Amino acid sequence: MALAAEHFEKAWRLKPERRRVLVDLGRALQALGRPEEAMAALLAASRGGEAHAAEAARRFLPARYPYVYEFRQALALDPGNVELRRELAFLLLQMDLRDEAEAELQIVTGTAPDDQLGAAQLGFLYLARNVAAAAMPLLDRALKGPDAELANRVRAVLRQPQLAGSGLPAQPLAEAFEVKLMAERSYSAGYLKDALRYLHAARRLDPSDFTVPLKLGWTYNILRQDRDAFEWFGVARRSPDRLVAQEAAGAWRNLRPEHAPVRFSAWFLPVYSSRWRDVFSYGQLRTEWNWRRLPVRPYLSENSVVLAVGAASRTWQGLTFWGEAGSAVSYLDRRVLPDYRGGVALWRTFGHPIFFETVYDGVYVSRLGDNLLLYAQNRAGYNLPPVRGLANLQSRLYWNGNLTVDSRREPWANAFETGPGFRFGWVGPSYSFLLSVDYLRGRYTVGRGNPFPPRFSDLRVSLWYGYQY
Amino acid sequence: MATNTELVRRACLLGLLAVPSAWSQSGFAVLSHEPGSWPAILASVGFEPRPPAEAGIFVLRPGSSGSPQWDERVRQGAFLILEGESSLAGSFGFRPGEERIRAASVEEARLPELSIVWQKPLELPRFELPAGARIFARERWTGAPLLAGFPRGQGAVLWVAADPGERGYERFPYLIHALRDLGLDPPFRSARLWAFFDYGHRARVDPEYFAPRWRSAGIAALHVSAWHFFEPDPERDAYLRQLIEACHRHGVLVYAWLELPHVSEEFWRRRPECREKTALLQDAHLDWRKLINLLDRDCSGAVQSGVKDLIIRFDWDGVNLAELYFESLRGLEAPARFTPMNGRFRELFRRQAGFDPIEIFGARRDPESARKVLEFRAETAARLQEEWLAALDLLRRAKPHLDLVLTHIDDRFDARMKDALGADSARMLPLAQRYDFTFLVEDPATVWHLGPSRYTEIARRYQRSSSSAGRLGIDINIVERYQDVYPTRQQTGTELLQQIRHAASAFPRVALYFEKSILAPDLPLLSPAAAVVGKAERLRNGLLVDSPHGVGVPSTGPVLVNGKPWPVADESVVWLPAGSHYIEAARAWPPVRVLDFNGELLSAAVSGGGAVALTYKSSSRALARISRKPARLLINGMEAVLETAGPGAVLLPRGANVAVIRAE
Repeated sequence: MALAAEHFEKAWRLKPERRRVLVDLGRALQALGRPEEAMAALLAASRGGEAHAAEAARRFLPARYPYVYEFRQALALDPGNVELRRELAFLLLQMDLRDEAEAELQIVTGTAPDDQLGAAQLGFLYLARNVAAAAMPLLDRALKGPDAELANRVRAVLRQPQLAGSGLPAQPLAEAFEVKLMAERSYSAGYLKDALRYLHAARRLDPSDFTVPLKLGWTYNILRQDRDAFEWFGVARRSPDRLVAQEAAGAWRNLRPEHAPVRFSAWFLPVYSSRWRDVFSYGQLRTEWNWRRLPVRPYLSENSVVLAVGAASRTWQGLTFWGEAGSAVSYLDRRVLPDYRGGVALWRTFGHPIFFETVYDGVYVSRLGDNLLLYAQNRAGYNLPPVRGLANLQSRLYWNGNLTVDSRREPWANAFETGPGFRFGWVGPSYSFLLSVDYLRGRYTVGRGNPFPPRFSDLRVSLWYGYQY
Repeated sequence: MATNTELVRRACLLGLLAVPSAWSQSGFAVLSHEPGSWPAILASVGFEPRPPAEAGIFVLRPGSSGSPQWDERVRQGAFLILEGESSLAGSFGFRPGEERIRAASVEEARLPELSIVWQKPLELPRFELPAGARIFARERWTGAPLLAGFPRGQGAVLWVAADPGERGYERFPYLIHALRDLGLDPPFRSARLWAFFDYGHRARVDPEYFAPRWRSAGIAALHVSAWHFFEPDPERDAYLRQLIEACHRHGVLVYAWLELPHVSEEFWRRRPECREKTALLQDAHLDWRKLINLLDRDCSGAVQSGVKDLIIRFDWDGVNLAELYFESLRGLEAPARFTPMNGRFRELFRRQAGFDPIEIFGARRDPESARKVLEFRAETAARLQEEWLAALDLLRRAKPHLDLVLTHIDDRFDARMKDALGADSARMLPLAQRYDFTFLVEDPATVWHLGPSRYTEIARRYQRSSSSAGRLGIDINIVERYQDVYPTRQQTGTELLQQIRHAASAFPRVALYFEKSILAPDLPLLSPAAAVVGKAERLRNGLLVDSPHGVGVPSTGPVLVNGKPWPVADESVVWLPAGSHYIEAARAWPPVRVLDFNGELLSAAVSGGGAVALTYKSSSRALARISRKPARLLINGMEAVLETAGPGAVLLPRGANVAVIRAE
């Protein structure tokens, strides 16, 4: 048997195109108990050359996919096997070993200048690395080659129009599949801009594949381009595939508050204060048209309805600027007063579960004698773990430290207060329901003309309900 | 321009509600603007294209729309072939799943071990099948169904996963076989094939078992490897006699197939001085042949004496002088295989040319010297062939019924053969009339990988230069090809059927090498593939058939041919002579019938008093199997000796004759 193996190998070296001899060599080596060498011979026979020999070799190969080292051993036996080397390169790409894959493809394109597939793949890799000068000659090979389908795949990546070459119809679905594969490889390897290019090409080739817009959404999301991510998630949430649609819809809802062109929100905040022995109710209904960050919003306020046009900056690092101009209509006496407001708000939270939260609001209100108010609220405390048995009930214990000042030195608007608080409730993607109980001890900082005692205690119970769509 | 869907709709409206007859099933319609290879596939066994209103077989390619009418039509007898994915295929339960498979290797249910490999793999969806569908072929590694079908009512549905390929056999060799399994019977039969029988491969077969099978496969004559019987041997001789008798009883003629200059193993061993030499001056044992120097008078005399004894010793119907030239296909390139280089050849050449021919492999490597040797070699081969034809013709004095066949490699389509083998058909074809032989063109191995349509071109080249075109034949080698061919190494299925069809259309005679290499699934379809019909048309209640060599028409009852009771028919096939004939149903069988006739039937008639009259011609004896025990034989009006082979088979003399066979 050893002699047979020796002569099979010699015979194959003499006539390397006779791939069946490689199968015979593999079988002889198997019979000799030399499994690795047998694997190398059979693997080499199973790729490239006669399809009959390839199929015959498959009968003796294990059902699993070969390992990289087995490919390398087969290539050591049959270094001129272009198909085998190309497949190794694809395997290495799958494993994100891009450099090694490139090296194999360089050998492929060097030894087999007619191998359009290898040239195209190497060209794609160069393109992904933005080495267009190296990529284009390779892609040109594929474009000028006889494989019309491959040429169209290259055109898709280069954003060129598809052609029906050699009388064959273009096959956009197959191309989309290939391009999508490239996109996934780029995404997995962290080459997000390449991934975006491939994904857009795949989207053009096969608009019916909703996994592509979903992937586009996530890629833009990772790139912090949430406006684009929001749009692609919106496309993907219409997928007929339930899982794709669910995933996309969840992501879309999370981004919607910031990026929806039309946004509706409402909140309602009744507060009981023992200091004032009264219940104050605040609420707002707001519809925003996200026109280049110019919202337009009517809302309810105090004892009046304020119909206004306003503008707000996008929140940056917790800082928001806003301004409104409109008319306040009292729903008690129906008086109409001009109303101009503007302000700045800063909201920052640090830490979890031990946290520190600070909220600063600076407000200019024309209707209150052109007054400028500053209200600083600080809370430090501990976020308790959510209670899963109660639909993830959230709660926190904290200590308040608040300061109010204004430019007109109104006694009611200048005070300091401190004390414990407890808040609990539920927060979902489009709603929130929170109940807060605070016990505060305070002191007015303006004594002149102040009709109230200088110190006060205040038990505040407030309910927050917000909804947005 | 009508779309495919419109075509299908029109077909439904036009003819699909008509009840089909057996004849309507012989016509097919591909309801697509791109028929692909379907016409070639279906025509390989005689189905003909018809307008949809007249067709019984419908091919609906991918994208065809569904219609409830199809189900009804199938129930009434239509055979529906569905290709790939379509709403119609879906309506019959053949639906693509989400999984996709790479298909490159096919496992055929009827021959699971046969390697069927696609040259170009395809990516296909894995299809779901309707309950009860029979799977004919699967993808070998995933088990995904590729060819399936089911009978429904009087018809059937066959579904195929992908386009069968440009030629019709690249992917699914057994489409026709699957249709046959579903009940579709090809429309015509032929019983004119020849087949080679190699005793070396068939030493133990039971002739009584095989002879009727060969005959039902359309085989008229078996060419038996006679070199195994060159030297008398009681056991072997008894076997051969048994084989010949069994063949005759079942209507199969038997020819002695000679492979000179190979004589026999024993002759090679006993007469070492007669061994041919290669250009390396080694004994010429090339492949299985052990070549003898037939230029040497003593050796040639011994061989001629042995051949004469061989022909006389057995009841042969003919002799096939095959491949009597030199070796090898590689010509001058391979001196180790180059023959002849025996002393006599070298001496004869030296006398004529003035140098030893072996020098062309040494000192004289100039093209002129090589040309002289090759021309002399071709002349020598032609002279040998003629000498042997003359010697065999002489044997007709003792056995006047002997047919002669000269099997000769093609050197017109593949012109390299003359220099490679010394084979020169131009020298032999003019001798066909003198020695009255069939010139059987051997398909050279160098062009085995070309498609079946090559036979048309080969025939054209021989017919142009032969005055006896009617005695031309083609020998198809059904063996594993050394070329990289797809989907099977050896011709089988549609490829083989197309080969036979093209060959039978181009040549009057088709021989198959060899009967053992024909795979079992192909055997029942050889006869339909070889049946050539120029025109077949349904007229009134009958069928008008025009054929160049005669043809069998499936029929289970008695028939009238051209308005008269027809006596040449068995229980399933009516056999018609060449030419145009009108066939219609009759009320009763004639009192005596010729169940099978092995010869060229010119006409037949029911004769009074329980007799049947046959006008025929035959290059060898003819065999007629009679439905009742024969009692008397008249040949051309003269009482003749009634020679029988078994109870019902009558041996009729060679030539053109009128035979009246009277039954007891």
